[in-house]
Amino acid sequence: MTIQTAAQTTRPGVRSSRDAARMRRGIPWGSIGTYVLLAAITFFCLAPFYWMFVTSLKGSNEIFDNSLWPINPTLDNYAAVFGAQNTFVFALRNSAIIASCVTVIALFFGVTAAYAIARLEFRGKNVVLGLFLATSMFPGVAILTPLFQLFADLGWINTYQAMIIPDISFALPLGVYILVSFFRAMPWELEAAALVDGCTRGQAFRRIILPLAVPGVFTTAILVFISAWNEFMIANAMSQTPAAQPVTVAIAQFTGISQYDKPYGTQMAAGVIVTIPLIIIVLIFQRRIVSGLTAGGVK
Amino acid sequence: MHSKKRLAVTASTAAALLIGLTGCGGAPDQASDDGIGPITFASGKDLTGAMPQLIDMWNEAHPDQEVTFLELSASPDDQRTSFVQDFQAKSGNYDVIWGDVVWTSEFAAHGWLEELDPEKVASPDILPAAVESAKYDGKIWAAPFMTNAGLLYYRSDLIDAPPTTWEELQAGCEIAAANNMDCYAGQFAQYEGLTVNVAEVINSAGGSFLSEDGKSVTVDSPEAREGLQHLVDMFENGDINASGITYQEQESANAFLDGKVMFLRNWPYVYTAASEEGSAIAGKFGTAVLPGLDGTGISSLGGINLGVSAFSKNKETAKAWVEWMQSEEAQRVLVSVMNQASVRSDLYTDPELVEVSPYLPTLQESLESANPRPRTPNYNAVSLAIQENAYAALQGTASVDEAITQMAADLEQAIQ
Amino acid sequence: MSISPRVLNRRRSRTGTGRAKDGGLAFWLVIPSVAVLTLVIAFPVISSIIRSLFGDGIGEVPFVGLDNYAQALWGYNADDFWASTGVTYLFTAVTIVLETLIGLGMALVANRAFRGRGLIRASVLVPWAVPTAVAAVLWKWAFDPQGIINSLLGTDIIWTGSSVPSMIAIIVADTWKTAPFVALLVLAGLQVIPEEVYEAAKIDGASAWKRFVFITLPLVKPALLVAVLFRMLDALRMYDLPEIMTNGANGTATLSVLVVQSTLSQLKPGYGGALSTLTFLLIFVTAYLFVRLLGVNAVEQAGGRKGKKQ
Repeated sequence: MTIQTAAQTTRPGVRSSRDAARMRRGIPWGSIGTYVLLAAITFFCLAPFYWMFVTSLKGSNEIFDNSLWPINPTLDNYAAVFGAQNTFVFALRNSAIIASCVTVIALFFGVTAAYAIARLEFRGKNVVLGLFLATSMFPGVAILTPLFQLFADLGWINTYQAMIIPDISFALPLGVYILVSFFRAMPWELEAAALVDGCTRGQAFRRIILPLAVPGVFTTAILVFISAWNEFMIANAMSQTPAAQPVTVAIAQFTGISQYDKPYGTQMAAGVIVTIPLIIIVLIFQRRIVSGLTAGGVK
Repeated sequence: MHSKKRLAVTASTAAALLIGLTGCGGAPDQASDDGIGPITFASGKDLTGAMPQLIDMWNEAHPDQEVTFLELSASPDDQRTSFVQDFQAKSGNYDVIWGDVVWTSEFAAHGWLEELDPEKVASPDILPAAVESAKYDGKIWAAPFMTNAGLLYYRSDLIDAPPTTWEELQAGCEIAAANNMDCYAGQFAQYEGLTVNVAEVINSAGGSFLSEDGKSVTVDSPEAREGLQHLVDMFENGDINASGITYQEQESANAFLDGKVMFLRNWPYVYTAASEEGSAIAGKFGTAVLPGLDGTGISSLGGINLGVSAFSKNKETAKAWVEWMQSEEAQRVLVSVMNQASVRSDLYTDPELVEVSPYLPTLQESLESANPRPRTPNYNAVSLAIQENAYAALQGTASVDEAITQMAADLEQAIQ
Repeated sequence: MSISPRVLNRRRSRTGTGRAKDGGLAFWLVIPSVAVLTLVIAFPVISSIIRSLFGDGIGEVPFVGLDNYAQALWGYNADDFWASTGVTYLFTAVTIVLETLIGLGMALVANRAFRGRGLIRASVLVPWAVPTAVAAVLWKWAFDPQGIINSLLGTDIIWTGSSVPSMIAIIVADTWKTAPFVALLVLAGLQVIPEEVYEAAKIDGASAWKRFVFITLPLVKPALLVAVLFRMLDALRMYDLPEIMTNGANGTATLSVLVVQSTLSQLKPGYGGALSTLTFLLIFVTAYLFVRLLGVNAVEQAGGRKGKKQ
């Protein structure tokens, strides 16, 4: 394998346009099929979300109608999400801080651990891998009570770390497994070559291997960020004041006009509010990180 | 190099965050030896925004005993989990907790609540049924704050007088059928609301679940079977729509508000939505006490009791605060601003309040005969046993006889 | 065209001194993760296992040995426990098959070149990004007897009122929510496949299907297996959807629903701890069999199996 190959593998854009060019020979059945599949997948993913969006725009009178678009669209539900005290803004801030910290720290720990597992030889490697997996096998609620007691003793209730640390531990097993599988698939000859050229192992890793593993690292980051953003059980126990509560806990506090009414419209509006920025951020970062890092890597 | 810098920045950010975060601990507790000082009141979500108003009233008069208001999740299960976690950690973060009436026994039995003085929080002004709900082992463990009972909503434009017995209800069903409507809706999905509805029919037929002390099972009786049979029959002959098996409060209220159903069993809150401008049934409905087997039925009691945490550092203030929450001053805010039912009997006949909430006299009548759901420290296990078996009977996967027999066995297991 | 797995492990060719250094470095690289997991998971799990050997009740609890386990496995609650086990595995099997097929399809389409590829990548993320609790409420109302699903299908099914329709509703909701998880992982796996591999295959005249079976599938296998493995761990612990959509009625109470019922709702940490431990053991055995039978240490071999022109 040559350096050339490595450069190309990380440029999906280049490959794609060539692919496309090749496919345009004769009647493009392949393309037609692809577009049909594209439509089907987009429908599958977005139709329920569309329904969520439509519901969030309906007033209380028509919210249980099944009309496919709002007849009298209203932003009442969105106003209700932010409420009089605007505490949802704090919740968004808290969620952003918690999920970012979790992503950064979990990725850092995950990358180092995955590198060791993928590249270094040490005793007990399989035990470590097995342990990582085993920590994802207990029902989450089983750890809630002991963990709450521990954090209460430490005085950590209502602090970010009481949510960040558990979230990191939920994210690590998956993160390590994904990263190990990506690191194993890397062309390590490049690392060897860099070592010969006088790079330290750390430099070789950062400059050569990490950029090549970007699709894996980035995917891990998305998965970790979203799961931290959506975590509810631990956050509900650990955050008691609006100053510390993330969005999932704030959404659980929404009510209808009575304690017996589920605030369907408000919840749907909140769902839209927390989902859309997430998608936008991911799309922006996807472009930036992929192009930025790979450009750096193959320079 | 680009990526190197990025990683360095990332790592230092992470480190800075870690260091910064450890600084955000909670405020230090202020406690004094005499048990007087600031307290925290943890409640379910405040629906009306009026709770701060109540708290301000208190705080203005007691600047050295300020109450901090903490709103928890809207879901009662989540609220209870928060309280239990706090009690188990003995943290005392919550000085006063707001709890569903069915939790009081459990919390008291675990030693999580401070015993209260019956003279102060269970005076004769307070509705007897509400006081009963705060009792465990003969003592008072919480101050009744809000109460609630089921009402029968009926279509006054279609029938002249509300039914008082199940037989009369049946007659109303024929009118409903003639109008192409379903007859009856209640809460029959498998959740706490089903326990409420099943307790009502079984109590109304003269049956019960547990003995007075909560230590033996009494459900295996012909009366309990007759009560459950009433609901099963209504499902079988279509008086309750088959989709009723999925109804919680909201779905059943929707069916009534849409004019699809003649009778609705629900809480007083539906009154407001039903009489609003634009409601399909505004001016066409009335409220009555639930019907029973041979006369007026027995409603399950709902409501909220305020408990003082055994781990509170300012118990004297906490006790004074829950007493004040029962006072006429506070309860008037509860009724007029929060639109909730008071625990003080004199407020049900107050002309000013009745004008705003015309259902109050009916609610008082319903409350007079209301029954707290089984009182036991194992309430959740008991309720699950009731729900699961009643649900099977309503679905038709078990006969009434099988369901009650199994319910008795499950309850026996649950109260151990 | 054949892609012969490279059996020789590159590590073996390295020097002995390198290996000795590895141990120390590896320790420092792995220890932060192990420490966090020990604090947050291992400590609570062990205390929960110890608690499961004690009875439930108020005040001092007696040591009861394995009584809590006996109660679940063949005692009074055996029917509930085994019914939950059955439905948990049913949900897991069905959702994993559906999610793997749909996720793989999504990834393959999203990896192809055409206009609108950004759109599909964004769409695929949407279901996964919606908070689970909100998604469950969305589906709960969609599957209401008067809801949008019946309205679109022109049916009158009481979805959450009986067993099979309830299960279908939960499976549909779960598949929608988590097929994107599989898609994202597979997509990342596809992005590191060298284009040369396909070029060579095309020159050899391999059909699209053959290229998929003999090139794409083996190469994305590590990512796919990781995705399926973690989906399995999560599906076997499924809680939110059955809890919110049916409250565990109609035979949809999964093992996690039972654990929450006994641990949180009924405050029986002893019995709840036993249920947690049993759930853990079931998942452990399932995951072990999965890794042995299907994966054969997928992660272990991935490095050697990288596709190359030989």
